[in-house]
Amino acid sequence: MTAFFCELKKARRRWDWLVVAGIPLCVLLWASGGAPASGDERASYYSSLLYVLPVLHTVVMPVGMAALASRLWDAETKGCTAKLLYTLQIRASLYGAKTALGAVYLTAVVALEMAGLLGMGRLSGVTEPLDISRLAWTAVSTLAVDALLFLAGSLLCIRFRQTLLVMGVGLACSLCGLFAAYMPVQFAYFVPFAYFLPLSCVGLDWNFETRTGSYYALPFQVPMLALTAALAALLLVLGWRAVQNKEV
Amino acid sequence: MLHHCIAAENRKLRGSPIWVVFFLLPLLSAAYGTFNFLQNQGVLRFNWYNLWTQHTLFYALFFFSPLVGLYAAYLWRLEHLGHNWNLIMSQPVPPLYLFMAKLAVVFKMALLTQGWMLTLYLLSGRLWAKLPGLPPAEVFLWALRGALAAAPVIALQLLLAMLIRSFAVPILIALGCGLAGVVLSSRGLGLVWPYSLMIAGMNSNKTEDALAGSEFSFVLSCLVFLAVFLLAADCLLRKQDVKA
Amino acid sequence: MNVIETSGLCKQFGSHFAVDHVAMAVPEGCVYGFIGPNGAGKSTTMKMLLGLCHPTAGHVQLLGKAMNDQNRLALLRQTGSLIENPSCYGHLTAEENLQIVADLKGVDKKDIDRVLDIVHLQKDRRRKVGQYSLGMRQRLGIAMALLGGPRLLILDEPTNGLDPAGIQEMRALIAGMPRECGTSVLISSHLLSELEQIIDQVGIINRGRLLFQGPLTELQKHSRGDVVLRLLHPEQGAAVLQRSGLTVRREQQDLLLPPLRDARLAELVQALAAAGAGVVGVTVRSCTLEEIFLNLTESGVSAQ
Repeated sequence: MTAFFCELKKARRRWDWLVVAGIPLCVLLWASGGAPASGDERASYYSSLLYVLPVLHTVVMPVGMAALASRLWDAETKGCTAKLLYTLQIRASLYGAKTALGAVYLTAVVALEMAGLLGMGRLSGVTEPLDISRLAWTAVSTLAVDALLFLAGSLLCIRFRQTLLVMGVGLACSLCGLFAAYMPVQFAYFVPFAYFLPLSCVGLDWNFETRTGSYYALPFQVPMLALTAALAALLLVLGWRAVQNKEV
Repeated sequence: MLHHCIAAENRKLRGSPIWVVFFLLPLLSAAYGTFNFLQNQGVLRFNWYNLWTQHTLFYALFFFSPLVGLYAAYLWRLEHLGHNWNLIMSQPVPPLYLFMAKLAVVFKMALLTQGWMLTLYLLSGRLWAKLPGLPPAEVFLWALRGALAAAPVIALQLLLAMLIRSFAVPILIALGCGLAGVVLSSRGLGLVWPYSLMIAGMNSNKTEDALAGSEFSFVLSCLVFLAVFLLAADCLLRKQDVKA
Repeated sequence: MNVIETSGLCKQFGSHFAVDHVAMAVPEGCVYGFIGPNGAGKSTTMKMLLGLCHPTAGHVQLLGKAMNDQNRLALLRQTGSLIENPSCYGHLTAEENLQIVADLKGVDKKDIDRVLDIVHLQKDRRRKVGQYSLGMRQRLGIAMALLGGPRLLILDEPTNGLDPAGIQEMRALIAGMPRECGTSVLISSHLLSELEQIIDQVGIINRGRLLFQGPLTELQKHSRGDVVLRLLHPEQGAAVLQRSGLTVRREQQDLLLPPLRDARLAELVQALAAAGAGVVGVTVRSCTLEEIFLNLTESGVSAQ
């Protein structure tokens, strides 16, 4: 706990909360641009947003999570504090504390985004009844993939002091993930940073002739969620080992 | 004096890992763009224009601004670390020249990125997609326009990276502003937001020229934004105390 | 001519004066030691001289010209500086770092060999600075300041991180600058014993205020310390001295008097001898520069 509170103290005047708020803001801003506006379309407002969110997440979250991981670890790089901290606390506690703070940030990102989604619906006078289970599934699956991305970013920050590398990888993952959105869905299974897509709970039936679509519920991909959680756990272990073995 | 500053900035990039990013991102975009072009021949027409839209759509919409943001953040990172602010600001050069030198170097990198992207477009079109002939001349103009539109974005990103001593945050801002640019572009307000200028300039989601008839407004918009950001940088560099 | 002149120089942060009405005058052709404890305002003053930091009040003149926007570039061209920690690009070699500074100063690249030779980094010129020790980075910082043969060098604790041999070399280099290169040097430090050997002029600053400024010999006049009297009959002697209006302190068998002029001391010795106190020994203690500095900075009273 002490280590966690130390991390909170280190976050003072770092304005991390602006980054935490900025990430869902990017997603919601983009979503609002394409959100249904007319009367008929408002009957499928939430479905259309839940359908498009995975694609938006695929672009925004790799960069956003890389930025969050970088905020947490860069403080130690800039201040050259590793050589001090490793004499004051066990390395695992440093890693644990930063991961815990990261978990708080991720939860806030997802919570703000879901709250924003509901807010947008209320303001738009949506007529579609909200399916809480779909919303909850979207929140949980987003959190799981965000955790995977954040832990990958943390691992890169620990292994390499170059923040350029972390952000560059984040951008490359965004680009690849976006491409995966327009490939056959099987392709997305091989792109972990785009797992937002196979975990989606809303599908779209598009009729090319009438140029209309109808949304339908997809079954919850629980094995996929478990795989995501397992990969996140693997990255957690790799990160922990990287901290233990790091030469200072 | 400015060319000396630019020479100094170029030296700072020697052996730097930024070239990996410069090389990789357009390569990913080209690989996917060509693959998608060939997979969707039912919807897309088999010509150079449609290949251009597939190569540049996502690149111009979402990734060009964070990419220049990354270049800008890297150049200022070199000064934020190592107490180098004291070094550069005590040199006998006007502070604005230091900023303009960085602008020139990032602009050069953006131009090289456009050039690399064009090269990949040509190679993948001829060797992979096996398109006949050569691309229409307009695509070279669109690539150049995209580079011109990058100038005000580069200036703004350099300003942000100069003020915000975090590497990641200006890049995230570039992504967010780029997304805002997509929304504004779709509502016909592309010329009033610097990040939308790149989308308009590169003509990445239309096969006919989206800027036809408004080239003057486009260029004016680029220059006005550039002037405003340079003025802001000059003011800040001259008035604020140096914090190493 | 004074190469550096300030009048009423102030730097205020909120209600706190980091530099408080400093009137510094550094004559041409000298090595000026700018001494003060940590947080005294040395670095802040030096930053204001270079225009890195804007004064709240007062004026700065370098090389006879006002430090303003019009003259700034011309003045910085003739100035070399090392402020706070040494600056460098860790991913570049020493040579590449110096090439960057040479580019910005408009100096011939051949000068790089000269400055590397002076700071003894020739062997390591092609190593990345990120691999350098602290002392090597410090020497590189000094090399950057020396590029172009400036008329004025402003060095903020340049011997930080150097080993004794390095400190001695640096001392010899700085001491010889006015004579060999016509360069005036402003050097700050809190290592007084080492500065004492190379400086001609000294300025002592504490809590933002300049407590003393002038030739080192002038400061050394303040080094006259207590007089120690060894007497056969100290009580008798003490009574004689007290009747003369002096404050006497006992230190075991000795009597201590405050600093006295020679003539006055001679009178007192005669009076003591006449009174039968039995003068066995008269010793005048002298303060080191460090003791003078500590006395000045603790009392905060100007010695001007």
